[in-house]
Amino acid sequence: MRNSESSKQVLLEVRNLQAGYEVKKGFVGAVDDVSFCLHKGEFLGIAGESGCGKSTLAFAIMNLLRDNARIRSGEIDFQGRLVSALSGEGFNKIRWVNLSMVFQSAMNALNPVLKVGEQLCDAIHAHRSISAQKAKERAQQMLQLVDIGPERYDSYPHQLSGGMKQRVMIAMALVLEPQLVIMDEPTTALDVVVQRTIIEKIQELQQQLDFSVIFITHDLSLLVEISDRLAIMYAGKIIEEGPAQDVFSHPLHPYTHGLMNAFPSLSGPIRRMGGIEGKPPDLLDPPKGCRFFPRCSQVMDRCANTYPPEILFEGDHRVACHLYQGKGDIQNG
Amino acid sequence: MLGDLWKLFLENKKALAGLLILLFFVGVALFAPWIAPYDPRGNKLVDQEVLEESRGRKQTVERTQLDEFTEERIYDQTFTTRTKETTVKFPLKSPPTSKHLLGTTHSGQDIFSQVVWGTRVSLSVGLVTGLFTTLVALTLALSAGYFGGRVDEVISLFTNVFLVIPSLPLMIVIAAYITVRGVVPIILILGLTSWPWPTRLLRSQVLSLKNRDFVRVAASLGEKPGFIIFREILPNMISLVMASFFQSTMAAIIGEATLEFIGLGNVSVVSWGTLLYWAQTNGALLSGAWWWFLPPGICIALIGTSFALMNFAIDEISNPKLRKR
Repeated sequence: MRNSESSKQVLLEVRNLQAGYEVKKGFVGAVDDVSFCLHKGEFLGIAGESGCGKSTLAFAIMNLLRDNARIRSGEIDFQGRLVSALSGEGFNKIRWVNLSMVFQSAMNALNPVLKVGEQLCDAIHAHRSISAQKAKERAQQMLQLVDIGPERYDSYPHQLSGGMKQRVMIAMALVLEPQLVIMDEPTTALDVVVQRTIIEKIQELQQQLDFSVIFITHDLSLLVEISDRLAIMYAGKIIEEGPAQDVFSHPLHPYTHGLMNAFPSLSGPIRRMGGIEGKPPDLLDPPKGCRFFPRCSQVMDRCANTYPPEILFEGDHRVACHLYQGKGDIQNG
Repeated sequence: MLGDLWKLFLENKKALAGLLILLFFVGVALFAPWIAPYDPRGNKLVDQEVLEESRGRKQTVERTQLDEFTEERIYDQTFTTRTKETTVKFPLKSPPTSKHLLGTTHSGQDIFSQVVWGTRVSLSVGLVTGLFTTLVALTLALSAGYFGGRVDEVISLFTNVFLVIPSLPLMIVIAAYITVRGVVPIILILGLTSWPWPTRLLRSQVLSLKNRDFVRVAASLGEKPGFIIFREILPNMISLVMASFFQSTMAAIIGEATLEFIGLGNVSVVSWGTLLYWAQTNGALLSGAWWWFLPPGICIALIGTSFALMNFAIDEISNPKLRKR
């Protein structure tokens, strides 16, 4: 728990964000009424199954939604500035300078015909007017920072391993020293050993350079280890959020319970893995009440009709579930 | 960076072979007047030798005394030149001899000289048309593929309409109506009918590249469209662009030969196509006069080989993964 004191400065605040995809049949609310706060230097993990809106949330924050995707309502504050109201041009000025992103697949995020060093230089030159020599030095310095020798400046992407490519992408995200880096499943395509070194590298860099991270993955066990705070998303909503250890050891929401039961622990007795019955709802037409009620083991009558209010527990641990009505430490309906 | 690529190109054996063949033909085209032994249209050699020049007597016609010191006279004088003119008529339909390396045509023109001069027309028609086609196709493809939406719809509509028009019949129809002499109409006809196919080909590649993650990264970095198109997208499709350039150049050379061969070009122009036309109309194929119809064909095939070789090499060079190390 490095940075969970609430006295910390707020870096990013998302309020009632609704974003999704305009399709013929209507609006797919991939992100529905999501609010959360990210403090300076904090490592926030967002977990959830495929299609729960994690990536849409990331792209919405980065103002990178494309084609039929759009933000319907809600506000995003970054460094005290209402960035969701910025124009495309205006956002271009802060994207990558103040907040950057590591994309899902490093294999495709590097241009195959350009040397990796040149691509880092392009990123620098996109926002800073410095000499080519200076940019090259900076690029080599960044490569070194992610444990890639500066002689790799002249390598083409195919000459690097998957892990190296992902580290180049991390260097690219950090090259302009942003305050926030959003990582959208940066380790999904890598094997566990490489995954581990990358995660360690990210943590090391975070301590060194003091930026905040939003780490998006479906790999909950990984998140528990590395995050300060953990948010669990289900069907476009954040259903539980709190300090990572808290969420891990005392999961409140039945869905979080289910998730924690679904992965094996390395120590402890061997047991049959529990899953969660059913499948996530259709986001075109989500259930009226709690999104999880059709699959919930502790379903009550009101779950089907009213969306549960958010209940705040001690240590900034909040959950949206009818089970805890009246049991919270602070009620914020 | 371009210097590096050029070096890689020269280090590649295939590329070097292809380039040498092309340079050979370009050299032949440029130095045609010095290489060709005879005038490609003449059928005889005329030699004049002055034997004697005689000057007639001066005869005063008019005389004026202007003043005390000045006098004006007007003369008549005749010059006679005796000249010896030797005319050597070339043999008609002669097989190759030491004087005529590739024999002569039905009207006695030297075929070797015609092949040499023909290189000039055929090659320039091919290269100009190829360049024109590729530039048009690339511009349309990049705009349609990158900007999408309305731009894409309009460009694709025109491309599709032109694509279904059969090009050879259209070429024939246009050629029949154009009255301008020379090769310019042929270039225009070939250029007009050859752009839709490469446009479609390149457009689909631009579309595919535009949706790759690295283009997305570049866009999220706030790079301008020009930068994304020319630095991120274009370098990834160089081999395709060059392939379509070679292909359209080749198609233009063959198209020119075709138009001339069926007599729709200008038969007074000396090109590989007209060579084949005259060979055909005079029964060179029937009489087995291989020296007449084979050389232009071989030249066309050699140019094709050269392009194919360079294309292989460009494929290898423009894609770092295929580069030999």
